[in-house]
Amino acid sequence: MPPLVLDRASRDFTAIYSDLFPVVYGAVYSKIRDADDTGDITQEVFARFYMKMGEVENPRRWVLGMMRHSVMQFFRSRRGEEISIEEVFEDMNLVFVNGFRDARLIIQEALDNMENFNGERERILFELIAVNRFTYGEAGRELGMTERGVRRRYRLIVRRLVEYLRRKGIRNLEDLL
Amino acid sequence: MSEKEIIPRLMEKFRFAEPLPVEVRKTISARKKSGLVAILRARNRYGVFIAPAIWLFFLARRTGISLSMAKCTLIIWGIVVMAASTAATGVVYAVKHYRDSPAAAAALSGVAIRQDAAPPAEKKIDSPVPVVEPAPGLGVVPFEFIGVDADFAETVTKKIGEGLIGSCGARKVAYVGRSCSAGMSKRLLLGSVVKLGDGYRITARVVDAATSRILLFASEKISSADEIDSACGRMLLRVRGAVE
Repeated sequence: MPPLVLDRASRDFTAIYSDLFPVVYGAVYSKIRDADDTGDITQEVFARFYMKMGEVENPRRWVLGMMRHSVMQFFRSRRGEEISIEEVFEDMNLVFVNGFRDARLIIQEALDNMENFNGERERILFELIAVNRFTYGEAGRELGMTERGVRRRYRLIVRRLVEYLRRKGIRNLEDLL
Repeated sequence: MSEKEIIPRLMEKFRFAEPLPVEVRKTISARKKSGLVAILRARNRYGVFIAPAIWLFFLARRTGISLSMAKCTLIIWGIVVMAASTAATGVVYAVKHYRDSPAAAAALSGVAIRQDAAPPAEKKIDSPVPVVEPAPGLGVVPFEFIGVDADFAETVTKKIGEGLIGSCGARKVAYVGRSCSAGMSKRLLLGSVVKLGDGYRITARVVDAATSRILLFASEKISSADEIDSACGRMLLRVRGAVE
């Protein structure tokens, strides 16, 4: 007998999955550059998350951690040799020197600080637009928001981020460019 | 440069940006849906009842509406219940329509019905008694009812109708539907059963099918349903004289 309704755990999973999927997919694709393999890895990550969901406190952190692990596994299986995590996920902070490294660390801190976002969905929205270069319409379709709503929220996020950076001593953002 | 423009450039410069090609971005939604279905299916959480809710969930997202799965499930089940009640109403209506038809009267009494009395679309009823031809002397029309249920009126119709067929023969008396036309029988037995206080009033009239002239009128008042048999018997005696 097929189930009549989704149980609560599956409903919660669907909500998390639907929001986080584009972020995970984008992160995997940026490493692998193959849509089919990216789809397989992303699905594997979420299938594991579904099984472990009851024990997970922070879904985003768990899913992104599992994503890194799965990408590593993928590279290892492809190359047939040991590969270090630094090789795949290089620490970008080390690429920059002096003041630029400090500025990057501050920006990283601003992006990690949840005070700059009004909930997880806002952070995902910012990542889709600023990191993955989704249009407002595309981001809205992924998150179930109107284009106008996305535009307004994005503006508020940017305002909060700029304010945060100013508080951290970065008065003029254009100086960093 | 506005703040909105600076942020993407900062992301670019400090290598936070991981732009996705347009063609990849366009396929994400489809991959998301198929991935979810595959995961739920692998865990036996997917079925014909879940599929429409998931379809609605993603459709709503594409149109800029964020609906939870619980709401999608509620909406889908609401639609299912509405469709089911509409279908049930249709079935009840069809059954009621059939019960009022001449074919139903024949099926209930077990006697033949004139074929031309039935509406054209209705199914022919097989009966052990051959179809009566030519037109019988008296056509028994189902009694009308006011304040009583249809079964009660049907019982009265059957008792009088069967009594007439028993005493006068099936060649002279036959059941006809309410939609009968002149020419089906020479005379018609029409009647009604009306609830009056604690009792009932049963009336019967024999009319000339061609002229609509009332040839005979009989009326009986009974105080309870137990008196149906005696009342129908008395009425039968009076009506029998009008059968040609």
